[in-house]
Amino acid sequence: MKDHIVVIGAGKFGSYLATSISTLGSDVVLIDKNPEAFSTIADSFVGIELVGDASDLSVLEEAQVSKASQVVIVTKNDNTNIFLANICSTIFKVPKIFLMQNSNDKAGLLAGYNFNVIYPFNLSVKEYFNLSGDLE
Amino acid sequence: MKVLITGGQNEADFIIKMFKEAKHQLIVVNSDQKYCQYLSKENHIKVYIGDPTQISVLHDAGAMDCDLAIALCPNDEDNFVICQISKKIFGIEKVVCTVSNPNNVDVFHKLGVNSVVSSTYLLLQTIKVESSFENVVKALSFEQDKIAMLEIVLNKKNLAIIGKTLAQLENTRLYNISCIYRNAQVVIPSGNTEIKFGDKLFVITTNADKDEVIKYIQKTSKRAFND
Repeated sequence: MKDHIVVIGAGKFGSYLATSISTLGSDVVLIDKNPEAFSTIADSFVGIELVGDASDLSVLEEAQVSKASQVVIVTKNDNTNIFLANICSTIFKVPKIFLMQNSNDKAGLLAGYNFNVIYPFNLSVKEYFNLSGDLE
Repeated sequence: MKVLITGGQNEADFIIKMFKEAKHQLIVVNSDQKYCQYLSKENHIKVYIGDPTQISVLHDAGAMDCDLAIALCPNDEDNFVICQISKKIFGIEKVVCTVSNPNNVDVFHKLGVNSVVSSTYLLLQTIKVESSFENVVKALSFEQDKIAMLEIVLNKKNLAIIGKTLAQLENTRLYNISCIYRNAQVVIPSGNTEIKFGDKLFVITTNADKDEVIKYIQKTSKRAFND
């Protein structure tokens, strides 16, 4: 059976990621509450576009989150991402959860769950030192 | 008691006044700079300007040894994060928050935040109670709607239970008449207390049996009807 993957937040990162995963052969559902968010998505995306507020349980049920092997939560709001990650983990028992955090203030709060947290800030800092190391 | 109050506007102002009057120590954090100035002037307290959903902000405000945290932000997700930080990072035992979306009361319970208040949810409960029994019966719920307290006015002379003593009542395993309000006096009834016309009964029951109990108490008797 194909992997079922749910991506929440159809911003630039979410849309790109959903497209990449879908072309690799997984079933992908991309959720965003703003219908216009989907207008920029690439033609190569072969998944389902679902308009709805993901903090509403019925929207997550429609996306069949309980069957998902992983959920990727990348809305613009850090607190929304934390709330959704808790819902996916505790209520829908999703085995693997990825979420984005623009601020690394809440790292202590996210420990002890099955959360894989992506911090663009930390990655940028790391990359700077990588690059500057190459320059030396 | 040391109380952390985060977010909110009028409700924050009201709660601050209430706790201040009771001489509790307050830590107030709000992200709205103008409203912080108002709160501070109005209540003569120190108010921290900052995002209360950030651990660093709450830490600097001194939230770590509070006994109670209250989250009043308009955004439900923000309140969830404040509740989690309060519990998990600062070890605050009692955490209360409001939610705008009434469906989130259940969701928050499932995620381990137990004291959740939704004004829409409360409004709905009140409307249900007020509209279904025309004020003759009022009901209050406790423990997540499992326990119900009914307030029933015996406003008809032909009710079957009028003239009976508590010991003569039926189905008593379903309910308990804990108090009677009669002629502006409170009566704590015993088995031989007689129920009279005009009594206001305070009845404890379960929410599941509530409707059956109301039906039994409001049953009219044929004999009295024919009188």
